Amino acid sequence: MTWTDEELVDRSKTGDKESFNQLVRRWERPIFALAYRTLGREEDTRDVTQETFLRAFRALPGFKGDAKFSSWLYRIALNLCRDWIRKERRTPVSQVPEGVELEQLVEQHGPKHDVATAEDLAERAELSRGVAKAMERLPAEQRTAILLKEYHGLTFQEIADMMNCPLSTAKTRVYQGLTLLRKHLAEQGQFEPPVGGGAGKRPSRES
Amino acid sequence: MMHIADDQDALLDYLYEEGDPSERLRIARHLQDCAACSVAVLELQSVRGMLADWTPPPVKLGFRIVQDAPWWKPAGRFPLWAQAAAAVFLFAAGMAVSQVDVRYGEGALTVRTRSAAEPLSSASMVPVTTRQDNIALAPETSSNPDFGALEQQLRNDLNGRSDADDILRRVRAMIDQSEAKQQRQLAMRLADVVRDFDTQRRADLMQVQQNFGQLEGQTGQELAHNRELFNYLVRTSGTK
Repeated sequence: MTWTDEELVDRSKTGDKESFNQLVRRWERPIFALAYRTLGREEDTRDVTQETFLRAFRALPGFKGDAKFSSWLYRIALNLCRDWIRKERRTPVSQVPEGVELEQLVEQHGPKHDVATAEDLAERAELSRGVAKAMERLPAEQRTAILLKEYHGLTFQEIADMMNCPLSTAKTRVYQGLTLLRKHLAEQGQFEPPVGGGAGKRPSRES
Repeated sequence: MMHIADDQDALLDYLYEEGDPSERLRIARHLQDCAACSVAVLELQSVRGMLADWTPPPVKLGFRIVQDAPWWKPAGRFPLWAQAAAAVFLFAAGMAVSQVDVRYGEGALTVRTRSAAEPLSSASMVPVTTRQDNIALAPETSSNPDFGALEQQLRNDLNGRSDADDILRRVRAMIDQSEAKQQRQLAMRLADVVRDFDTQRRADLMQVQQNFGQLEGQTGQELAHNRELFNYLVRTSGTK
């Protein structure tokens, strides 16, 4: 039987460690991915991921279920990432996955890439590096908003709640982030305007 | 219709399929007719497509909680004060049960336990000496030096006297004397045992009292802390 997050949280509150471990198994990869794209270092990301679940476990009695459990976890992870960046006084390092073989990339991307050539894989790895670099150049709020939207599927309202900002601000951060990202990628020579032209050309009103 | 490229909210709702479905349908129709807006949407969709290529490393995680949370207490667990009360009760019950009554009589040492409700209820009996009529049968095996001396005295007396009644009387007197001496020795030993036991009991009682004092001190600190916290909440809530 598959328990919902809410059911597992309720069971965990009664001291059932195994229920909480089910939540860990369910959410450790998304949390790791979020922290990795924020920090960019695998070892630091592991520490932050582990600490996220430890803090969640300790703070579980205070979780009233007002937000989704996953949103609560994301918030803890993002706070930890922010603290880590402040503490270490480092800038986040966006990297292409460390130690990732091209074949592993193929496996991750599923059947549609099964026929990818070595040139395709090399190109994709280069593109991944470029995206990481362009993301790194974004302001932190825009980067976080895009991460939550693109990779974790949060609604704009959930992003607004998590970032303690109005809904319109959350949307603006995503929009401006995407626009800036397009600009950075173009500067890096990695963004080809869609066929049909007019890249970067803003349509005027009533045109 | 205005260009959706100028309407950030509408553009994002369309891109991420949020908001009113009828509004998204309206935008889709507009995109069919407006090349400029189509390009703007395609550009953002292209950026989103490129983001998909940025993947974290394929690592093995498997985090697992192995210890109980500090906040968790089993439902049946008693609070600290109840545990302390139970400990005191058990200690008192143990003291009542362990009031040992030791008596010496009829050639045997009798150990009885005496509870407050039923004095002299028998708990166990431990014979530690032989009966009188065994003394003459197995003197060699007796470890008591008094019996050896008695035997020697009897032999001497029997060699020198012929009056059986007198001998018997003297033997009885010596046996009574020896028995009285043994009783005194046992009484002294038992007195030592009782004294040691009483000393240990007093030490235990003092330890219990000290522990209670510590518990009361901790409880007082917690109360003081809670009082401060409550006062702070009252103050802060009053200022808003």
